[in-house]
Amino acid sequence: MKRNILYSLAVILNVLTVPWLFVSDNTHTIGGFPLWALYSIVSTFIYAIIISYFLRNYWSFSASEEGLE
Amino acid sequence: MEMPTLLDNTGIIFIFLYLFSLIGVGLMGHFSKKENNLGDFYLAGRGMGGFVLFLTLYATQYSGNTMIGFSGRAYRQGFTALVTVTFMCAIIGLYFIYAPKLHTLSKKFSYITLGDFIQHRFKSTKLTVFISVISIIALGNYILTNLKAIGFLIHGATGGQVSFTQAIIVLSLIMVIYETLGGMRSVAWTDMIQGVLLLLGVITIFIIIYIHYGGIHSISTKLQEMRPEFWSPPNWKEKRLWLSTILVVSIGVSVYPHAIQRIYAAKNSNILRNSMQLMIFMPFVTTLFMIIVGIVGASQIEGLNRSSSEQISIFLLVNLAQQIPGISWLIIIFLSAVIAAIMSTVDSALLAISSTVTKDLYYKVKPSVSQSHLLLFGKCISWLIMLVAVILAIKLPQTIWQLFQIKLELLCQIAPAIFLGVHIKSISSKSIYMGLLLGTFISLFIMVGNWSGLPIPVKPLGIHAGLWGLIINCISIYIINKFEKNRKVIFS
Repeated sequence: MKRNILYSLAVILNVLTVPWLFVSDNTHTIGGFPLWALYSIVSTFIYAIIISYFLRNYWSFSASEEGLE
Repeated sequence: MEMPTLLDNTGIIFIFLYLFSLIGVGLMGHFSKKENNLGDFYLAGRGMGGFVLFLTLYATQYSGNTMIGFSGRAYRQGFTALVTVTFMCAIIGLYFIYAPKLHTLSKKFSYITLGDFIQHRFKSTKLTVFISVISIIALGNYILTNLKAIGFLIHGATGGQVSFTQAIIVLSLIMVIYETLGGMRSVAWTDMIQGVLLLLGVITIFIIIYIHYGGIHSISTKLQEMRPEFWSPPNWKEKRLWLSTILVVSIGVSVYPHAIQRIYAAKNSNILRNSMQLMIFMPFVTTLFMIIVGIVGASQIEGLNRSSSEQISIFLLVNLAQQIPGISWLIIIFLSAVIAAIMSTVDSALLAISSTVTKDLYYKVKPSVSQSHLLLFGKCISWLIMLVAVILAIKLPQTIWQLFQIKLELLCQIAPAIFLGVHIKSISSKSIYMGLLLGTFISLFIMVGNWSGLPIPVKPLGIHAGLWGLIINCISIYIINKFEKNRKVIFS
């Protein structure tokens, strides 16, 4: 995977943690949280898991000269 | 709502014993030094192990703001305060982009400060000095605001038995003593204690409040009636602000010079990687817990203004202590955790300023001086900075206090030098310098212009001044770099 794709993915996933698609006033809750708040927590957790995976598997790649402009 | 007296004499003695024990840790750091040079003093000999590294990163990254500010924000704004969980995770996401490469380079070229990397990469003293000055101003402001926070907290918690001035002076003295005794080693070891205290404090308080008041699910019906606005999803402007907050905080915090020194100080890349893998999940047991405490607080205590709401965790604990006798120790744990969080942040920032002034400024003027001379100079600088910070924290008029809150907006502007500098060979020092200059100007223009009454919103279009600065910064880097490349093609 190209370095800039990897980094762009990390940034895009971060942007996706914002509850963009929740617009209506909906009082429905799960575990006491409004849906959009729960979305924010869950998407941030998924983001954390993916970054953790990147750190584990692409650390050496990120540290190397490979893929440099 | 006034803060009640939280600490009796036993509580005050307990906290002071804990604080003075930190000097003992500083002494241990002093006697553990291996060499009398800057690398040993400022980076603990570049041999920081996993446990210490993780806890020092954790204690440094989570300041008193986590314990006080985040729950206060949740009390006032409800679930939109969850943005704090995301930006604390995003900081690690940004480390992933530059830390692996920077760590490798630091081992190869023995960097001590951020300025060492900038000088080595861009070969421009002008740029190094500019970045160093921005770092010093941002970190200095960071120290000042934290000192002021700790002064107010102790003054309030002791019911005025310890004055604002006394609290600041005693705590500053303790910090500067252990810092100059053992440098990074002492700071990291005290961070270890402070990190454990912080984590235990947050988890204990969360569990106790959760058990007693119930979690979000128990209070949600009541809260929907009391604060229906908490349930509305953010509108488009708020969503833009949400993203802007994530970006400005995560970019600014990810380039903290004291965090960068911890990247250099890691014993090896595996240790650094493992610490970061753990760090990315810490917001879920620290920030998220304090947000839930703040929201639970909103269902229990009504009508707090902005400054009182910052003490929502304390009010909940006091309520609990009144209902359940024998758990007043919780308040001592909470206050110790807040003090620990603030101290671990201030001591690291102080060490970073000391190393920046010594290595990036003084050493450039006097390159022939010995390592022991530089060390002595660095220690004197720590004392001098702390003295100035204490005087300003005590004496600074409230009217100009806003100026000293500019931190992340400035730090954002040095991010391109690091992120692009480690990865793109062709990026020139001239483009980075011009971008930095323009970005800093734009950020300050928006912020200072707004404060001085000009018709400029503090966050134009719902975007922070620092981010506008960063956008201009990056555009100018791109244009200047492109222009330089074209000129080389024409003249070659």
